[in-house]
Amino acid sequence: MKRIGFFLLVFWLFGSQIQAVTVTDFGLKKMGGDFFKLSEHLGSKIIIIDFWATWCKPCKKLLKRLNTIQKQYRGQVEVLAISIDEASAFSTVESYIKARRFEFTVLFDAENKVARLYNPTLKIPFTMVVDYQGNIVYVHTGYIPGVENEIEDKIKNILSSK
Amino acid sequence: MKKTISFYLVVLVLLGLPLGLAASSLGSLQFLVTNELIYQYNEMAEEKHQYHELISFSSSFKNWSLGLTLRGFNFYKQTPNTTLDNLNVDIYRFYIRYQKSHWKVNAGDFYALLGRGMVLSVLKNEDVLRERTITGGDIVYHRGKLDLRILAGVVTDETEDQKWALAGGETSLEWLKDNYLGLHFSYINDMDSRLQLGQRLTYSLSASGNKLLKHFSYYAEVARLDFLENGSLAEDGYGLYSSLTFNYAHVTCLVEYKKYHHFNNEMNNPPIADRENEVSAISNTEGVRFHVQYALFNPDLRFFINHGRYREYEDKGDHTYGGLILEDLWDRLDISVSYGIKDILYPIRKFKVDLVYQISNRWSLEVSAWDKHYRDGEFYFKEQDHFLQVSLAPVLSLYFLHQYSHNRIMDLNHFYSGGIKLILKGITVIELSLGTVRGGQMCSGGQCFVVPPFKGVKFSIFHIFK
Repeated sequence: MKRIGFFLLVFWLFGSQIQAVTVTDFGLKKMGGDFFKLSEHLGSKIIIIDFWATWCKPCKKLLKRLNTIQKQYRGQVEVLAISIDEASAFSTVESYIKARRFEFTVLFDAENKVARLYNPTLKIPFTMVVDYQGNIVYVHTGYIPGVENEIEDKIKNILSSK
Repeated sequence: MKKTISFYLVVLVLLGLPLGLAASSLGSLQFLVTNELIYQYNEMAEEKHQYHELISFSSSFKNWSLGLTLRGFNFYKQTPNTTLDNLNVDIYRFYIRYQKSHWKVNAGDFYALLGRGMVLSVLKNEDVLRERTITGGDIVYHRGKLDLRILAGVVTDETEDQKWALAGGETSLEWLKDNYLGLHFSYINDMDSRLQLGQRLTYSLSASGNKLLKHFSYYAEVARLDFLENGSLAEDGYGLYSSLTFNYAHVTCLVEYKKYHHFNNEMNNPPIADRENEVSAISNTEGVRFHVQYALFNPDLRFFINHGRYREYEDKGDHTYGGLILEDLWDRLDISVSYGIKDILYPIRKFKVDLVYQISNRWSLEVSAWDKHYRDGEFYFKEQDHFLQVSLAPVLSLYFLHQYSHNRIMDLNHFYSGGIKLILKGITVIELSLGTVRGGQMCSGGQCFVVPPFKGVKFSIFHIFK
């Protein structure tokens, strides 16, 4: 157990020196078949990237809140809801999103190619707010009702400093 | 791969320190580190102290991405009631990726899904603690209306001590606006001389489309599987999956049909036409499902009904369930209620209720319960779960779970567990739980896994270094 503790301490010391900076560009298939490339959308809007799955209950609660944000800040914010569901659930994802008339963009990442860039252990929901310069200004994992207020505060900060 | 802790630390220093320093000196280098640690005291295991840790580095520089996950462990997540003799340390996952304009090249570990998983599906399935990767190479080309992909590598199933070599590929073409045609194939060779399962060649043709007549979208895939022995055809099988979604005004409909005959190539996971369906057999099964949902808004109210008819070998049966979802009632209450009967091998009845009540801006209460039981003559079985959670946003959740099983497991009928979950600044998740957990068969996305019962204390911490 001592060795484990030592190992953890060393790693955490190194880890705490590291700074996350800008978002990495990626391309994914949109629900509906088109191709989405992040770099084509950066700069003009605040981007919220949210990783979710149909089997994840907290994720679905957060999606609903994100849709409210999308509607409230239409033209200023773009929410990307990236589904990490496996292929079995593609039809379910589609009917879930359409039935709720969610307005945000839904992307498929069944192979977790993008999720692994930011969230290698695939803990979801996992949410990031990206500013106009492509900086990741907010990262959050998990969902407890009320977290959406923090996201909205970040949006307001970015908008006020524009 | 067993190595000593000193090796682990050397790797850590050699990789972590230069990358950490580079991250602070190079503006365009993007770097992320996460750490997940689980420690549990598991009374069900002979050696009760168990440890599992994953440290992941991921970094991007210009067109390059790099990922590395180191693991320290003395048990596998899939088999927690067995503790290994030593603390093992290994390089769990590694990849390097290059992407430029139309190309993406990946070497190392990667997940792969061809089509909708009928010819190849090597993905993580967190629900059933299943994770395999392909270790090898993967090239993807995307330009305009054309997609091409080719991959090859080795898949190792560490808990089953099995190894496969495989190659695969697919191409897809947008032949009409929002309509696609695809070709997919995989070739899999059993490298384990003990099993001698031979080779499997699977190939398929798919068609998909969106916004058809404005309101429809569809997907269809037809596949053939050849079982080969020394290059000669020994047996064959086939699979067919199709789905059609319709959405207009308040109504959403989904129709799915599947038929699989002798269609298991060990690396495929074809759509099961219903995630709730626990039947995962793909050797000889047929099913059709109709799901319709009607939605009203303010408050958000949805009714749904789902009917499926399935055949497995000589057993036929129906699976019907329906319910309602009510969200944002009085701006603070979400309710979901469903009831279903699945009558294929034996009649299973399942009732499920979920309720989330937002007491105030910060306090919320969540209650969920389900009851599953069946009776087949003298044979009777019943399982129940009752879950209660109180949360204080955005930091704290306290939860309690009661489980019941008609069959005695660990000499118990009732199982009690509870825990506390803390989310600190959104980047640290700390969870402490204790008690007894029933275990049992879990099915998700067509994959089933028997989770052993658990008794003890579990502590986990997940942290994002930023």
